[in-house]
Amino acid sequence: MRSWFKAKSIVSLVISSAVVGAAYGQSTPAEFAELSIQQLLNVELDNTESNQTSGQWQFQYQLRHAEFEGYMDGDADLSTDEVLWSGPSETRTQDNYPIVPTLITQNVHLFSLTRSLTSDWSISINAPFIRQETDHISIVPGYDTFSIKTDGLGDVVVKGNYQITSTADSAWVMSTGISLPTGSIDEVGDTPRDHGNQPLPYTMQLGSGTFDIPIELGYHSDGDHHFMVSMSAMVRTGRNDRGYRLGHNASVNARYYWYENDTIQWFTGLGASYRQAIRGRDQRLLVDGPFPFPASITDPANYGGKKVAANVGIVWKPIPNLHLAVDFNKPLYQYLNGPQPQEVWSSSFTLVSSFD
Amino acid sequence: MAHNLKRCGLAALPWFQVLIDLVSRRRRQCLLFIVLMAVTNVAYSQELSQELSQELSQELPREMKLKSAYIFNFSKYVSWPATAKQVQVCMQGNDALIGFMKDLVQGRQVGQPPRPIEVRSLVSGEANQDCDIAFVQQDLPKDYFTSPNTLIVASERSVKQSRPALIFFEENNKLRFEVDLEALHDSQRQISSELLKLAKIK
Repeated sequence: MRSWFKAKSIVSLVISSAVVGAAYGQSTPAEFAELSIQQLLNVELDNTESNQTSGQWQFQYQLRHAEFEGYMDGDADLSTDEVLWSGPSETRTQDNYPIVPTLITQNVHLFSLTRSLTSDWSISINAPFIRQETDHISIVPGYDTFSIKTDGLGDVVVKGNYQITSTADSAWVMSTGISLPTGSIDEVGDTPRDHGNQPLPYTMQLGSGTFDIPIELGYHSDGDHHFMVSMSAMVRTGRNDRGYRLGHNASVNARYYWYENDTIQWFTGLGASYRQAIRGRDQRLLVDGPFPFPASITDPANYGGKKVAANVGIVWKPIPNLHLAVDFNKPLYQYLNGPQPQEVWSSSFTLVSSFD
Repeated sequence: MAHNLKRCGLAALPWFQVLIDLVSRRRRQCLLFIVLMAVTNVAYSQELSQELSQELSQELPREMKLKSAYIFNFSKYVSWPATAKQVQVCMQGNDALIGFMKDLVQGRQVGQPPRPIEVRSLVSGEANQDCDIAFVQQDLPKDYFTSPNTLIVASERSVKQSRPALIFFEENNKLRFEVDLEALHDSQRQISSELLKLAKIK
């Protein structure tokens, strides 16, 4: 049975799910009257009004874990030793630093709530809670090895989702809105720059500090082959109070699905992403002298790049009101503005539930 | 950010100044609260207006609701005579179905020029009825419909004697419909090619 294909889209593509899910959420005569023939062809018969994909409300929780270790400059790998400036006995360049992050771990708890407004429109709010930690080595006495942690609310995104068109087996959906600067850009920690708390580099901040515009476009097919393609971008605006803005970014993702049985579905896919370097700089992160950046992650130019990653995963529908998914992502190719820590792997767990 | 807004002339707007103020004073939680309240308010007002009709419609199976929605859509794709003041839709079914269909078309018009839809119940045993569209769930006598132009929509393929032009069927857990071109021709009704594209042709 393919009746929960749309729910798979929920897991894999929030924008798609928000709108496609709306096409299943009718209960009143007026709501049914709003359905076009194309939308009616997509509606599932056994999708009772208590079914999770038919809810007027949709809740989603996602935990994403990512690890960054080792360095790249362009597509060339660099060892930690190559990036660490070992002291006066070694020539200092623009590509080595007295402080070097060795392992970055990020955990993002993303909470989303979507409300169907009509058969074509829905609105959603996404709130990420971020916890991240970076292990370092340095040549600074007393800071041979040290770790820094930050956690808190990230940038909250409010979006409107619209189903552009749909046929019996497919649908195009788009989404846009605003990303609010609710995440802190004033995180501090004990770094070798000085005693006590110091402003932390860009990677350790929780938000962008700017009002940004997310744009997403998605297509899914539920015909003979089950797949989805999505394109998304984040357009940054202005600069934040610290004098910089994060880079614009864009990505394209595609997934193909296989049905194991009525409740389990496998998928695999590819994703390509591009991110600009940071524009401007946070002056508080700089040190005096010919080499103002004490660590690679304090240099705004060492951000962004291109990446292609593969992913595999599984979706499980244990009960009608609940969908669970797990996926694992591994970069196949990275071209980074560097030296920059490279992503080793990432993984996520997703829970989706709808209700009236 | 404030510098950029000023450069764009936006800082001159008082509301934007307030927004900047909120953010620069790190009172971002206030901003989040306002957004949450707005989202909740929209949802709540919609909830109230839908509550009553939800109660009325819950006893009808979802399949029948979908068929009702299809029939309403079918009426949009038919070329009705310019002189027709309304479209008569006759439904064979219980009170819940008739009531749902009446609610569904209430205040809506179809065709050019736009005209309202009137929903009636098909009464068994009465040779009647001047129906433009008739939804049939069980076979009716051959001469049941006095008008040869009645566009008959069958609830399923087993309904054959009434010579339906549009027939619902289930495929992959979804409701589809097929068109019997011969029966459609006999009814002398013209339906849009857009509808035919989405139908299975019998």
